[in-house]
Amino acid sequence: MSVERTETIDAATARDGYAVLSIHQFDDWEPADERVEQLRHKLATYERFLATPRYLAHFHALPVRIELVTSSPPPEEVRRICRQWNVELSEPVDDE
Amino acid sequence: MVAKALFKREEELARVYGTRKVDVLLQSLRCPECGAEGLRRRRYVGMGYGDVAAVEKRMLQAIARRFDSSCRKCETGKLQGDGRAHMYALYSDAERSHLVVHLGLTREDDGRVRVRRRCWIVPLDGTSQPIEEDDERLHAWWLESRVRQALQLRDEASVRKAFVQLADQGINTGLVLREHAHFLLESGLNAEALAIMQKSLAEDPEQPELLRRAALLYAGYGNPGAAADLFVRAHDLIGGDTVLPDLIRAAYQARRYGMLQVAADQLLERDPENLLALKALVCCQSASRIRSLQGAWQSLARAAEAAGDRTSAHAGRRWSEMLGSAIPDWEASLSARAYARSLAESLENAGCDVETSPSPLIAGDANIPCDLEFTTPEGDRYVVFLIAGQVRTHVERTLRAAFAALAADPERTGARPLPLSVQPLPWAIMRYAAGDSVAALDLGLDADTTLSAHTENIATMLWAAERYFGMLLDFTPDSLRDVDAILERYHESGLGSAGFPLQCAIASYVGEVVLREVEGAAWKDGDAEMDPRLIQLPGGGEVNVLGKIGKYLRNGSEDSVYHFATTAIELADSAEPTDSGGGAK
Repeated sequence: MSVERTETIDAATARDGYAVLSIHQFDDWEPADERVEQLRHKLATYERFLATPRYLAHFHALPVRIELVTSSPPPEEVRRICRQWNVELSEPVDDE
Repeated sequence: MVAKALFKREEELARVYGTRKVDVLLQSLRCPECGAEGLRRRRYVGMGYGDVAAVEKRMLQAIARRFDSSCRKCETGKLQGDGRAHMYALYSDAERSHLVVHLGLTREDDGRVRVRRRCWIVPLDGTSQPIEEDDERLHAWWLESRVRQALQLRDEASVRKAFVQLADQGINTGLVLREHAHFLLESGLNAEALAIMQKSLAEDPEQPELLRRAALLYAGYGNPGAAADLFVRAHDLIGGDTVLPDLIRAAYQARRYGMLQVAADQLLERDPENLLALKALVCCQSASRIRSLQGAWQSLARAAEAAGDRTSAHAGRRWSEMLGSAIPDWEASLSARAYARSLAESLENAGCDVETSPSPLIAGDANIPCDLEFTTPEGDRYVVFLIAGQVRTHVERTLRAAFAALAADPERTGARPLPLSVQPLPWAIMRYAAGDSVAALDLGLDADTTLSAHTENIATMLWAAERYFGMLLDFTPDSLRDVDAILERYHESGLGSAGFPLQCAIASYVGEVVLREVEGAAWKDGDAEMDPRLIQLPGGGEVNVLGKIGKYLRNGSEDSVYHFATTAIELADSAEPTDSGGGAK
């Protein structure tokens, strides 16, 4: 489960009436350029998954969220991609 | 001098068949009794030549041949093949010319025949010119002759071997690879053909027809980005408007809106009323220029009205009307929240009743937020959805669910959805928002999407076909033409789409038609994630009806469900009956 595995779906669940597709990135984002490119590929994989009959047979009527859950602060380019793709970014909160 | 008039027909054939045009011998036949002469045209298929002498050898064999037919003039003499002039024409697509080997026969007083050999090149639409037999240009003819010879081998393995041999000999030109790819395409080996096409294009990038065919393959494989790139290259070479519609479809599916705009503009320059281009133009606009978006919709409405396309005309009128409210441009620098404030202010100034914190829409267990709700002084009520980023598939699904929830919300009866985005919106979303009956059917239809409860799906399909399309489906294979017509309404020249429940309802009906025609056929679970339910034919074949419907929606009538199902039925009919009696009817 990470952006490095560009061809897999990390998690697909139904939550609060939404189909929620999650990307988990528990490692850091280095090297940043490579990870960013992998994230783009992974999002394309998620988009294709949304069109598969296997997905549609069960979730076609549900609104959909894609979320990126990361344990380390992502580079700015990742934030930009998330805004551009309407992906919800869930990152660690700094308590200080 | 070669009489060019004789080659008019050959030139026409060359334009159609290119490299594959067969060789032709124009042979002068002679009557030994009256001396009359006439020309005879004979085709030679799959001949491989390496030099002019080999061609001459073939010609001399024909000249020495005996003929059974009699002279039409004197009706007594049996014709002979040794008239005065004989021409063998081989075509080269690379040179866009025929090579004509000419044999002139003269009879000496002592009865001996003298043969004089000359060679000419006859270009398409050009003037013939003599050529020396050792001219290097002739290699093009010998090569294409060998390609034709390879293609003539009927079985796939032999043809493959022949092409591999050509490649091993370093003869791996774009043209050879192109012909190899065409052969693979004809054999149904599309993926392999595509790989060879790419090699061919690497050798010779300027092959417009090959670029177009490769692009269509990519589009069929669901790779619109690669398809669009190739269509652009083909268009640059061909010009005109033959490639532009394909480019528009591929660019739209790849969400390459810059390319889409350029292609649509070019098509409109040639045909200002072209509906596909006008729809594409609407898809390129965004809320950052509301007046421009409204103008595009108005143009579409006018053209659609004139063309009798009521659905598009309705969408055009409805959107023009919606954007006629006091809606300001959405500056790209503004967030959705900031734009919502600006929009609310503008609408209030125009006398609208605005709700800035509308309650969310309820879709099952989900609360889908909306950004604004307003009622115009004329009483039209709108629910606004603001989308800041790109409208990717998951956003489209969410909007679809929101629109369906809005249509079912008793508190908001009559309210229309108004999606606004700084990015282009997909055509389907705009159609749903416009709320025509065909789009409303798609939005509201419920069906069993596991393709298990076919009876319910079929009942839904019969009702929808009659209620919305005026079609009475009677379970005959011919009724699948009506199904094609329904799918065409959702294909919309490549910009449209249909929801999964509607696809499943159609699949259940098509499946039922096949099951009624083919005894022993049955639905079964598929293995791959793309094939959830298949029809198993008694002869062992499988039919992926749902997949075919998806293809029609993407590619249009070239993926006709009627042809697909009737072919499956015919194949099952021609299959051997099994021991258990479960064979095709």
